[in-house]
Amino acid sequence: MKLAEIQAALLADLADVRTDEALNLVRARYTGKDGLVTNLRKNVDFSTMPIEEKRSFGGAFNDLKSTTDEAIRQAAARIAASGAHDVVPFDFTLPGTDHRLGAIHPILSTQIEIEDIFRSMGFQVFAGDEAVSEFENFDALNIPGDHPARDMQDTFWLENGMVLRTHTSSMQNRALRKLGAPVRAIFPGRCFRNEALDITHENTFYQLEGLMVDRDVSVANLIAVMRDFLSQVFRREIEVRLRPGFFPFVEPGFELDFKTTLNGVRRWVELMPCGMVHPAVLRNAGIDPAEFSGFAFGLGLTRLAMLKHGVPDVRLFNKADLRFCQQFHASL
Amino acid sequence: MKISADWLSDFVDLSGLDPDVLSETLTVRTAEVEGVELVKRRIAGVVVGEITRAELFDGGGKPRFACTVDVGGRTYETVCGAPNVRVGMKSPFAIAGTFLQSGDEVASTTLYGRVSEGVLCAPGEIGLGTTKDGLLELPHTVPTGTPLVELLPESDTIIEIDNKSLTHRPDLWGHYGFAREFAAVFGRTLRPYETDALPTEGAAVRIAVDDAVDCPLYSALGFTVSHNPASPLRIQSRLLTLGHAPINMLVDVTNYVQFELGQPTHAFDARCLNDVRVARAGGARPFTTLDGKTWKLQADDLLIWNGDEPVALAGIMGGLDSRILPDTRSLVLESATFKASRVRQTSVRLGLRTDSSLRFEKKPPPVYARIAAGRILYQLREAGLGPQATTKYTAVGEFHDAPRTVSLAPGWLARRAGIPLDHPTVTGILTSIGLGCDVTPEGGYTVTIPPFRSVADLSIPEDISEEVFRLYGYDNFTPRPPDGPLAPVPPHTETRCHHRARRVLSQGHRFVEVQTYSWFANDVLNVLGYEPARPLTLKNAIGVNNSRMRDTIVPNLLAAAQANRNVAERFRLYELGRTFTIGVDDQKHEANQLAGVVVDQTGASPEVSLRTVRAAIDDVVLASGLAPATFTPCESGPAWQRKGRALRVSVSDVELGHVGVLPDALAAKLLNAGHLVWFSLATAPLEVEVYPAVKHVAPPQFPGSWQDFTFTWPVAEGYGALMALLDTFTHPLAQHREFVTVYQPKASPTANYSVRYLLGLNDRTLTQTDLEDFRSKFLAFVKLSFLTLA
Repeated sequence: MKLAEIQAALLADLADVRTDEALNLVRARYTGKDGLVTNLRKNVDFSTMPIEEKRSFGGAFNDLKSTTDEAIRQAAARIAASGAHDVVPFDFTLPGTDHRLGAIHPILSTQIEIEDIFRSMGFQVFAGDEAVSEFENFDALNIPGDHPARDMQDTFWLENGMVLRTHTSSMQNRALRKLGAPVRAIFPGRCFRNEALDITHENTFYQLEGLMVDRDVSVANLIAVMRDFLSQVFRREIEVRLRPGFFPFVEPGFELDFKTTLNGVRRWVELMPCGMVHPAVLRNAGIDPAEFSGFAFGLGLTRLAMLKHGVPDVRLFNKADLRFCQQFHASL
Repeated sequence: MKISADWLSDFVDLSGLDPDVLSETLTVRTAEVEGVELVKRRIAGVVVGEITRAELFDGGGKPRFACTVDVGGRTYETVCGAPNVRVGMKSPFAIAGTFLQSGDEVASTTLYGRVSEGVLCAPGEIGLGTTKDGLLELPHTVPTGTPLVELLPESDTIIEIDNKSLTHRPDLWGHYGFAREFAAVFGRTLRPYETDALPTEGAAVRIAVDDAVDCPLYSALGFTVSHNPASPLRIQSRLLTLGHAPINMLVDVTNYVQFELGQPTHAFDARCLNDVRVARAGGARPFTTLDGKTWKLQADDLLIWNGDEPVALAGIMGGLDSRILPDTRSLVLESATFKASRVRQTSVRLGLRTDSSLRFEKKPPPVYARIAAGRILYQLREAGLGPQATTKYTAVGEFHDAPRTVSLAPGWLARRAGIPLDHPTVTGILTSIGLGCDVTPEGGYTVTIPPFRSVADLSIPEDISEEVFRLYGYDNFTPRPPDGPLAPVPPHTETRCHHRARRVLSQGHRFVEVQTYSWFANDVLNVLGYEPARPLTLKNAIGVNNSRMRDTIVPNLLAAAQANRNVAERFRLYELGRTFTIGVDDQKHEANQLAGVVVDQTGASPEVSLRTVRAAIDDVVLASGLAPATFTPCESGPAWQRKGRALRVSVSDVELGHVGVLPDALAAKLLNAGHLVWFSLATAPLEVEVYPAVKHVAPPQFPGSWQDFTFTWPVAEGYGALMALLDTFTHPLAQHREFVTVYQPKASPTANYSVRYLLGLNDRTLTQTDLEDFRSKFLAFVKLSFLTLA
């Protein structure tokens, strides 16, 4: 075939090419190892060719080669522009791989959330020991020496005379001494009570204590802070009410209820004990109750996590059962 | 505790108040109402009947009585199987055609061949409690034929109060205290609590109190009665409605006054008590209470003695031998105050919780002892028993009956409330519950507290504020956010760094956070062969197996791994929590530990799991803003840490903890197959900075190059040692060194470790000469170090 014929045939072939596969066939036919263009050069015996003819052929061949390459390139570009490449050659609907997300324990994720809310309200976080002195757990909190809470059936006693804290209130004294007044602080943590286990009772659970001490802190302040806090927790306006409750470290003491819908009925649900800090508690921490007053509250983190996640049995939290724990994707 | 609206109405008029309003108001003003129950009694058509004939016969194989019942004007025949039937007894009689509580209509019929024209009633048959064991016996003074509806209300409202909300209010452990609250809350008049005067003349009761701490007040009165009949229907019905079986007036009256006032008392047969002594048991001894049960007492248990003979378990229950008998006509009435914790400890230990012990645990004011004695005399006299004192009312101890005063500074109440409170409001509230309140010239208050409110409950201004606030109504408070300067809140580094470690593991490395108990379980320690060196130990653990507090979390996680071995073939767990030890200073020490396990039961190489854990630890450390962690071979440690398969983790030469592959023998015990990699880190070194500042390094401005080298190196020496050796080579071009890969031919003691040097200069592009200089110097170093290039 003459050069001009080859070129005409190539352009004719390329005109019909619509896909990469078709283009590859054309490319092989002309510029492959055994292609028409390739062979053209292979089959010429340059050794016997006169110099003039050699020069003329070389020029024509090079022209053909570049025309060929350019035509193929344009065809490839035409195919690409036609959108043929948008369809990928694998199952585009396969699931993701190499997931890295594990789980954070639901009590801890609840704690992190509550910490965030209180931080936004100007409360700092404080932490303390889990094994504490009898003074910190009881005496500092105005709990009398013969109070039932000190009995062996309610409190875990240690051989060294200390106790496993029965409530996060055990940190009040230390926090007040360290941070002084005025102060707004929360102290989350693990607590222990020596009681029999059932679906609502655990010997190991989490609380989050809150404390605000300043000049002229009032009951009206307590109600406002609790209402605003709970509205943030539940992401809606929350109605709260106080009713009398008794705890030796507050006076007056309250039970705080919030209004919610349970089983289709709108009703008050008991949420947390709270109250105005007892003057003896302030005095025990070196703070003058004539100058400062405050409120404290004890939120059941475990209970809140149960409410939030719909966990029906408190014992599930401490079982380290993968089927339970891995449900709570680390989403914070 | 249950309270009866019928009983309350002796002291306060509750007419026109809806039970739901009563319950809701009581909850927000005084104490939590757990439930309200409307009790209806089927007593229409039931009359007082007197049994005039009771003939025993065999009725269907059981002893029965054919009775004639006089209802005043005419008589009826009936058949009755109750064991307490006797001639002359008065009892409710339901004439044929009336309906019983069960809903059954009484029929005129023939039973066992005898005529039956009505039913003699047990309490449960007319809606007084549920007991149907014997006939309800009425006192003789009730005229025969009286319709029961004239003696008893046909319905009652029972309000159940949560006992927990009454722990500080001994005055609310009886109906009269609640009547006072209702009167105050609803603005109604409280009727006085009537008592008879106590005799001040005559011989004293002989009382010796050996232990005045456990018994701060003991008072007693001797008296006789003319007879001991069944209690008036009013008393019996109220006791029955609250779930207590009436016995006779002398026994019932002490219970009745207990439920009215909140003060337990005890009546002894005077034949068994003439020399009262209050003293501890003094040693182990048995004692039989009047319910017929025998208890093993301990030395500390407090008893009432008649000379050397114990007659009652103080504040809990009387003794069997000194109880009131049907023929008892002379009594000693005990009305005392016992120490709350003493009563509680004994009753809890014995499992003998009584209405009396519950009330003494709430510390009733001592003055109640005297009021109760006077009330009992009043009730006995009203019931016609004609009590005659044989002694004077004798007391050892103090009644503390002087009123107390508390001063409230001007403006203090309103500031504490956060709302305005005017004088008439405050004085009105306080006087409504029996307190005195005077406004001082400066505008403060002098509040007088009567002795019937306990000292523990009302003593300081804050106690008074509670009375004012709760009765004013917390629902009437306008919430007010606190004032105060805006100030930044310092982050709590420890907590925030813990949360960061959690996020790294749980969000970046597929770990699942779990929680285990803060103590060990011995069975796991036994499997592991681990003994904590100086553990913090519990006195009263939940079991003998759980007395030692954890000094590391690892064993608990190994147990968790075992427990989950059938849940998944591969999983990653961690816990961040407290560990406890007794230090060499003999003090308790707590530390936060981050521990985890990676389990793979598929047969894959532990190398992958170990490097998974290392990457996680690398990231936890890096995220803390610290220098990269280093891992070096370490000696054997606790059972799970074996030399040759464990590494020490440190940061800038500070030890963080360890990581390792669990010995195969232990893995075989805990897992179905495969291996487990564990780690434990102290978190304290990581708790440095909540917001670490990563130092910026400018990217190279001139193109660089790289060169790869592969070394054949003994696996036993390890990657760490090879890197340590390479660390000793420095060259101005070498900007960074990366580990690329390792290849270990099967069964070979050596492996090929490939590293890449990234080369560059900050001021110009590298030349061929530069690269050749680096290469020749590095190869010289290799030769000098006896390293083998692969």
